[in-house]
Amino acid sequence: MGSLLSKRFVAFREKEKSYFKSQASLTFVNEAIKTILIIVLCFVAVVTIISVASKDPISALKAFFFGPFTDTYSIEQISEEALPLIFTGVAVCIMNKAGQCNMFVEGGFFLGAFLSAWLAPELAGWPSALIPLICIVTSALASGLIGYLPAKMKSSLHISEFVTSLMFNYIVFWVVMFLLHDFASDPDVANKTKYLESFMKLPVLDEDTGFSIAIFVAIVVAVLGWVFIGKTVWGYRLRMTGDNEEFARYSGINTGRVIVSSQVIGAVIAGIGGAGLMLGGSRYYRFEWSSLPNYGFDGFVIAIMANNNPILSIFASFFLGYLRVGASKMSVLSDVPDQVVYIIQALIIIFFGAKLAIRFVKRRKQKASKKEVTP
Amino acid sequence: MGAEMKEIVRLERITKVYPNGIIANDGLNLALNEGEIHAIAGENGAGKSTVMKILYGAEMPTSGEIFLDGKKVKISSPKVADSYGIGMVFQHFMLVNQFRVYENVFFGIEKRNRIGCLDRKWMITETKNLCQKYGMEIDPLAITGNLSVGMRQKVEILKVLARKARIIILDEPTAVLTPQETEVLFRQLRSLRGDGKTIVVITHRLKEIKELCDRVTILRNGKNCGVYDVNSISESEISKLMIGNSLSAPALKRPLSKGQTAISVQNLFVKGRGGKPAVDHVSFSASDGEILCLAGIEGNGQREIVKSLVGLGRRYEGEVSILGQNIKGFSVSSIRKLGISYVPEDRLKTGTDPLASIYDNIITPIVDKESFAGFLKRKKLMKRAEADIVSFGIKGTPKQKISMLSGGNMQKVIIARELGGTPKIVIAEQPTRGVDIGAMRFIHKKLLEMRDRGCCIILISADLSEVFALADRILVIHDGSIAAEIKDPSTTNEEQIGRYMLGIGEAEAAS
Repeated sequence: MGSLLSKRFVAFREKEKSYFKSQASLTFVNEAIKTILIIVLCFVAVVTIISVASKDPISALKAFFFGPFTDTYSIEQISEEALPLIFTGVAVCIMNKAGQCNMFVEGGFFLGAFLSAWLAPELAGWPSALIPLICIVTSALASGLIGYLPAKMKSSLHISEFVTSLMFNYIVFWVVMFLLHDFASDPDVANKTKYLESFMKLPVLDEDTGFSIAIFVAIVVAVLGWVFIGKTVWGYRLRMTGDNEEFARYSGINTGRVIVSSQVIGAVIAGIGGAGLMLGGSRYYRFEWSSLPNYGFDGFVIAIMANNNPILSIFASFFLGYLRVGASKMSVLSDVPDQVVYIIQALIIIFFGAKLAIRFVKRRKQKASKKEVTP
Repeated sequence: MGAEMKEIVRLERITKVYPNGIIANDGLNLALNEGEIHAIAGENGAGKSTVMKILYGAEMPTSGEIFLDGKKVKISSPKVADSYGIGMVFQHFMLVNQFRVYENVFFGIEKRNRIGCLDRKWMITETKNLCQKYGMEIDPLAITGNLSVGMRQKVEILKVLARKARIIILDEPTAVLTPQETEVLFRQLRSLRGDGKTIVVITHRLKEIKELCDRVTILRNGKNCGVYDVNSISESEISKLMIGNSLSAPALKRPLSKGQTAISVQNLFVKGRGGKPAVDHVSFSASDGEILCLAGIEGNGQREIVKSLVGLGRRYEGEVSILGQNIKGFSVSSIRKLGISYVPEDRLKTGTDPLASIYDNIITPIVDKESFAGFLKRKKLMKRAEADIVSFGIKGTPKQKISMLSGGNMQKVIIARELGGTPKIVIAEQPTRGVDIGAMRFIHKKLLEMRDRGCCIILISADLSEVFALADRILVIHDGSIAAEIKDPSTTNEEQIGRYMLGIGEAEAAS
């Protein structure tokens, strides 16, 4: 029987290998086409809305689509918009791959931003290379520590991390507000942290625009995230747990540890993101948010668009950044308000969600038909 | 069986291609006569369930036509099939366990009275009438979940009869029955045939085809390989047609040469639901080089015994030692490190990661070893996956998604993963369920090979022919304790074991 098998298969495998290779690339092309189609659909929707909303739609559309490329300032703005999204997107990607639905990306980001903005001016005497580094590490640690709490509750007590993390967002928010008001605020200016001199922030590459290395830090984090998920033992365990927790457990994977560590890693990345936002670029000089900025939730949009792939998250973030800059250009140069970008974002979520829903229904149907055929 | 058989159903050129490219049915022609018991035979994956599901309206054919009483019909849903008098009893029962029998029987076709409320009295009386008419003894008011598997199957048949079915399709009906219950079912089916019903039985069990059926249609790879009168064809001929070439003889079992005790279970006690213990002070041991089979109807405690052996059920009393070590409190991974491999019962739910590739699924146990500083040694792992695919005859490439494989191939991936290393102990739960004969023979051969090399194998199986082919010793589990220990399987037969499994028959002293 053994020789029969090997004879059969040697002949078979040549045909099979090429067939399955083409199948694999077919799926990739399939996915790519679907994504492009969705983007095209969004653009069509945008054009329609703007044509209706504006008295001069053509110049509005020109400003929206081409505006972001017209000057270096706008191009730099795209990367500024993309920056927080990459961090939160990657954080969500990792947690999604582990099957965890943790919303603390928002709170972790917020906390990271606050701590960096508070700490950096206090370290004024220190060597300027160290200041951003210490702030990032502090933000990462703090965010990770607090992110550990809902994670541990999930793994030990089976309490939904979705609910607890949402609540922690608010806890963190109000604690930060309290600290900001009573301790961290600039004595001369109310409810804002002290001014961040340029030596406290991340090194800047272009004096005119304030383009800093923060975006490269983000890209490195994204690449590390991708390597972690795909190429390490721990990433493998994470994926197995996310796909089928029971199977992971039966294989001897410590799923409790995976659940906790994936969420802590996500929180840490979110914290670094907050620090990176404050300390990078020309936009922020003080921490003055009085409400949650929603970067964490945007991370979920990015993860959906990027299919939970950290590398694709980079592209998704830049794309979303481009849309936002386009919208703001449009609001300046035409009569269309920049809130239009929220409509576009909503459409993106709906369309990508529809794609997921179709996939989900398809998979359910397949599973059902499989169940009967293979008892 | 009259000489003049009227054709009642004809399926012409039925083709079914699934979206992932699998061709389940390939231009099938099938004809059923009125008042016969017709077997649809074939290996798992031959397309038997698919074509019957098409007849039942649960699947739509890619092309082909169905004729009922000579007239072309379109069966677009089970409801439509019902109206044509076609009913199907699935292998996984579709019953609501919390409902009473009559509620399940009339599920979806409930009788309402004039004001629109449920007419329970009518339904209960009707159920009683049906039972009387067809010679079944079921209390319409019984809670379905409390009935035995054989009884629940009867409720499924009642469901079909209540919908006035003329054609009753049964999908692998004996897979979940003991020999005794099978006898009862056969009697029932024969009496239904006497009433003029047409019975279709999907099966791969040759003995049953011979014993019960009038004609047999043999399917292979989605194609029809012939219709035969059961009287005019032998079991080996049927099997040949099912597989396509002569199957090699089943692997010979070498005489037992036991080694040291590998597993020792003393007074194992596992709490069950509702006060009754799931495992009631069970003690047994298993040695290197022997295959010990735990036989029993599902739900009598085998699961819990296995769970405590493997580390998934940590709450137990008593002592479980593996290779001399008491494993109380050990985690799954530490028990696995001792040298245990585990083939779980449920392929999709617990045995694989259905979203991942074959590669991802095969490398699970060696991921730790083949890594450097936390990074996966991809080349080595890929090589290992390819080697396993070849040596276990898996039809696929490493990067392929495992969900695209047939059930038999999926099982081979799991077997390759668990048996590929050199485990000292293998615990296999229903390892060949839903697997085609070729793969089944292969898996049996592998298990016997490992046994000859000194591996200790604990086999949990409901397939008594598999039990007799592999087991050196059999422990029959009933109600959480050992109903019988058979030290030499050649001294007993399937009927006797069936009786132990049901809790009747003289039990030998538990070990």
